[in-house]
Amino acid sequence: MTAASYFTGSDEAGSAATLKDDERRERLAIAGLSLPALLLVAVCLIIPVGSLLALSFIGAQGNLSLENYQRLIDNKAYLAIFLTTFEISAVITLICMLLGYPLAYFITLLPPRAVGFAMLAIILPFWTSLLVRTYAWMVLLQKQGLVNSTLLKLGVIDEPIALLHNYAGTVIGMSHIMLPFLVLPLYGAMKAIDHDLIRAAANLGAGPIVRFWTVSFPLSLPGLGAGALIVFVLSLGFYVTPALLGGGKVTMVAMRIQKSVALYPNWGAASALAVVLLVVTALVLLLGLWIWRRNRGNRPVMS
Amino acid sequence: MTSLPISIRSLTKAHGALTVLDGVDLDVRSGEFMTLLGPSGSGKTTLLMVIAGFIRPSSGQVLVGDKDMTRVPPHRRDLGMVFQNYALFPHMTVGENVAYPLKRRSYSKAEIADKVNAALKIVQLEALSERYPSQLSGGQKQRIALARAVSFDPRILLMDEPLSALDKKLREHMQIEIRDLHDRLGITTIYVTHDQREALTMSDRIAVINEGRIAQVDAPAALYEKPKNLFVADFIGDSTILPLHREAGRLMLNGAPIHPGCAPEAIGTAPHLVIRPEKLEVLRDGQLPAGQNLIEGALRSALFQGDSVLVQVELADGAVLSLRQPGRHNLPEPGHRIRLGLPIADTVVLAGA
Ligand SMILES: Nc1ncnc2c1ncn2[C@@H]1O[C@H](COP(=O)(O)OP(=O)(O)OP(=O)(O)O)[C@@H](O)[C@H]1O
Ligand SMILES: [Mg+2]
Repeated sequence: MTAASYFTGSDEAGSAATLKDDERRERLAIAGLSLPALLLVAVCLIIPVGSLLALSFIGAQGNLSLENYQRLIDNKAYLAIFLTTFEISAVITLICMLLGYPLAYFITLLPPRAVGFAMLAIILPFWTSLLVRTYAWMVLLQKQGLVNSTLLKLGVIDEPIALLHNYAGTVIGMSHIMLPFLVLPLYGAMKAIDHDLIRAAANLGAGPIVRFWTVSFPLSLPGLGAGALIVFVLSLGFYVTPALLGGGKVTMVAMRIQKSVALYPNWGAASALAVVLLVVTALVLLLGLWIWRRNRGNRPVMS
Repeated sequence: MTSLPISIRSLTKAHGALTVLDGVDLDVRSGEFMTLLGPSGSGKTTLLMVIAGFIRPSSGQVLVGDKDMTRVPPHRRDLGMVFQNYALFPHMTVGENVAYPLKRRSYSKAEIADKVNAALKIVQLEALSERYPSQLSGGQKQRIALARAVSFDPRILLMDEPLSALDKKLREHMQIEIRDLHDRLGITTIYVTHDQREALTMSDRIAVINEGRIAQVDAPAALYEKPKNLFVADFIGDSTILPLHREAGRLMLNGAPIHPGCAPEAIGTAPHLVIRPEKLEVLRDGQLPAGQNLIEGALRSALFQGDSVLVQVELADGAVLSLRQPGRHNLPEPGHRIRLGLPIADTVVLAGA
């Protein structure tokens, strides 16, 4: 588009027209090719979300009403669920940041062949189903599981500790599943840092620690932010792992939605919850985008 | 501020089987502008990186002043360096970039501010201190990189092709500015380039590097007029290099004698004649001034190139040599015989490989 307007502004009107035609044709072709995907998005996203939105405004008597939302406000239990969801997502994000940062940094220091291997190890879990990974954690974390028996053998603990069906289990399992989402963008950002910048810092008198805090770390922050945002947003809507590892002691919004539908078929209540979760998630994303834009505005990441 | 000499002693660097630097010896005098010049892959950057401390040599030493720097980590070497792609910190303003080395040293806030200002003044960009590098033009980035490299009064300045990303006009302007800055600060400078014109313009002396070895170290004029080997003769300037034959102790080119500018015994095996295009003169028929060698051939072409005419002459054995003269005077028709004079004093004959 910029190219087209640029050329239209030039005095070679003939070639400008051709270029513009070419570009229009190309756009049409691309639009045609993306049509199936667009249709899929429309069918699988817009229609369900639209009906969700509609359902949330329909009361118990099938009338148009705000009672589903009113209940979310009146019943303090819902607020608690949202707070738990936020808290768990924040804790998971923090843990992923603390574990993921050194991990990503470590991978950048590996020789090329080892990097491929490390990346494979990080991406490998994506190839098994979420359910399998979650059950694997159940096996590991149970009373007679590997974690407890190892800790017992090492004498760290005297009797098995409860790692499953509680907050701890939820956090451990979810952190593991979310970690790659943080490491991948972070590693990308770290990898993109021009090595000459580190050399320049050294040349100008900065030792390894100062180099890290003044150059590597600030330049990796956009990647860390992107990864953290992805982890936080995915955690907000997470269902399978907290449902299986939390053992009913930890209720997140997605689980409450499922309950509303499955236990007491209350589509209105479930829809209202889902809409609120959707809006909150969208707001978090927008906030992240806004921070990113603002930082890019006055502190460009790449020259 | 006193500047320091640099002494590089039999420096060798090998990457596995590949020897990148092969016994480099080089002495840079205090306050000197020394250029490392050589073709791509000859080891210039590697040598500079060894001096800066980013690459550890396989053997040999780097001395600054009388201090052995070979094992000193880069952040304790106190050398200013300008990187090829500037390496300005993108997340810091121009002012913060220039202050970076000062903050690593024990200066007060006020001193840092003063020194940042002074450094920006040297490159005439005081007004830009609040900008981020991405808001600068190539030439401005270049100057800020320079300001940052000299803001902490280093004893030595290293530059790796600092102008290669700039267009020709700006490059020529910056060449003068950098040389000017060097003269004002009197700082020992090692400058890397593969642009011979840049090297000839800026340097006190040039070290020509080929395949990890120093081919010759000399002042620009000496390097041009008196190359010591065929590599330098070929690499610097547009030379024509022609093999000569020895007959009865004399050097012959296509059956005609050539008197070298030096003693013929000093030349060794496989002598070659090195001809600079501007040293040749077209002679009129029958004319042969004293003190000149005569070379005969046929005019192949005469190309007008604005400031000069490039004349190509084909010799009896099919070799072609070029000469340059201001106009078309004395030139025969293409294909006709042409006689060229080469002053004996300018007749460079070197041993072949
Ligand atoms: N880490 C490395 N491993 C193996 N070989 C290397 C390494 N670094 C450089 N080399 C080789 O060393 C030689 C010299 O490289 P160097 O970068 O010093 O050349 P240069 O003279 O600066 O060239 P240019 O003008 O292209 O910048 C090259 O052949 C290069 O391929
Ligand atoms: Mg180089």
